[in-house]
Amino acid sequence: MLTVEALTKSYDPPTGLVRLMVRTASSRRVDALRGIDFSVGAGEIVGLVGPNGAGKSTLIKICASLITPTSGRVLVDGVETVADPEHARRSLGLLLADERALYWRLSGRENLRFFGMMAGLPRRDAWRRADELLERFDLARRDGLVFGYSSGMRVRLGLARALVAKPRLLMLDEPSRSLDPVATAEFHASLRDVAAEGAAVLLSSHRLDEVEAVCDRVLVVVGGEQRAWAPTGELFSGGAAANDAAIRALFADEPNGREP
Amino acid sequence: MIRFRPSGAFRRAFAVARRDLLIEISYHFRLIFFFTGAFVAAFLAYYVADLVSTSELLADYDGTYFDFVIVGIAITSYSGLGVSSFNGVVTAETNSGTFEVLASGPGGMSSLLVGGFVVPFMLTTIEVAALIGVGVGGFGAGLTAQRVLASVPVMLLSLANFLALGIVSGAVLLLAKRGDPISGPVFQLTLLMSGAVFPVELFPSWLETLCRLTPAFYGVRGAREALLTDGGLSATVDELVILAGFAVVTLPLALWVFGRSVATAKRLGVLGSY
Repeated sequence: MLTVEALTKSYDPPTGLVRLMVRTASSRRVDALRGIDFSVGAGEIVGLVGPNGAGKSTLIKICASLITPTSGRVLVDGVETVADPEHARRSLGLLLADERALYWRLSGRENLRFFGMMAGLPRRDAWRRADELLERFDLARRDGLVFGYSSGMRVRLGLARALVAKPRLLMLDEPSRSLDPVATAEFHASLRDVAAEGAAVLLSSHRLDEVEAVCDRVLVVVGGEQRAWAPTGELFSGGAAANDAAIRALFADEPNGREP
Repeated sequence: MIRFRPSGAFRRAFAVARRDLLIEISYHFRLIFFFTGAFVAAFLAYYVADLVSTSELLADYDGTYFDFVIVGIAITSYSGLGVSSFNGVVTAETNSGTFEVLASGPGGMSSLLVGGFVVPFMLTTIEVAALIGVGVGGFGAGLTAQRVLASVPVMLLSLANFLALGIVSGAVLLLAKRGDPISGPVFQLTLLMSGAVFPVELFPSWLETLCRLTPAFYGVRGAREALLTDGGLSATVDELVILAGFAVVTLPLALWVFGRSVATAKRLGVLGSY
């Protein structure tokens, strides 16, 4: 479903007129990703793990065709994202780390209706899908303007938004960071349901317990380099202390400040 | 069963317009004062017109200075809309954190820009209609429904030219995030160089010549020909041809600039930053 081959991303500092307009985090060339190779199959959940600034968000945004790679390629459902981004995006559902990615002056239902239509659903289907998802994520009873939602409700609504067009590839960037334990368990159950329905899921997370609980395979990225790509059980299966030791070993020699 | 249809661009633009309307309506207090601007502008124009005597430079137009300036204000409202609507869309989506989500969806960017124009256009048209309504009903401006209809093509073509500038402005903002250098100065220059508030014949000849090189000048002149004379649509043919000529060049060029801006933002990784 998602295939990433020899992916590299370097941020060169802007030049000429663009330099006057654009402020980037670094004035030097930054190698954000180097030689990333992995895949996510239908019905599979892949965990993306790495320290802050490892390049996880850059990787997800490249897969979503929001950032252009320097070299290598990304295929979504067999379609190359740089050559035909419009086609590739039809299969995508995306939940970025930004909690604000909703319209706070609209209700949850109106948000889902809007994003459904933007994803290409006919109006009637978008309305019906919004109702289904509100029920599924337990948001229907308390549906009001989103600025009145709790953080957990916004994450659930964000996930509902990402699922609105039944994407074949779902990419989530640290979605559970503001969920309480009960909401986290429900969220994990939802992810398993989505995968069971045949979607491929790429889940970026800092929580090893979450990765261990829901992911089939894990990609570890440190300083823009791929440190591990293996079934979850091979990397994390020895309990909290052993997992902690394993991740410390994987994160060793981690250079900081790789992402812009 | 969810169905996908290829002709979704209209539906997406409708969704954006509907969303904007719902958000606009949610700001109740703003709506209360929506018409204040039209009343103040008409009131101001009437008393300024009362103060200054009618100039022989207005003889070409079958009206007073009040009628003359009302038309000027109306068209500058559309110029303000044209140059600011796209950067308004870019800014609003970036600030709400939805820009990247929409850009990662099918057809999101173009539908967003087109649909994002609809509600601001409606609101500006209501404001302009209120201005003209107050001018005619309250202060006796000599505008009729027939003349207003005759002005529609020239208004739309003027708007197309301002939209081109607005698209370039949106392209700049996509990279610079703040400090749009285009829409503010363009709006001020339009007020000055289009002849919106006084005839450009009052300027030194070199500046008058410069004014005649801008689409805004022909937009205002065409609107006045339609609204203030009995010539109807046929009186605006020259202006329509000139404005169409400008638009044929400026619109594709602006879209190309916007495309380059998106590509640059994706290369630098700043599409959704703010």
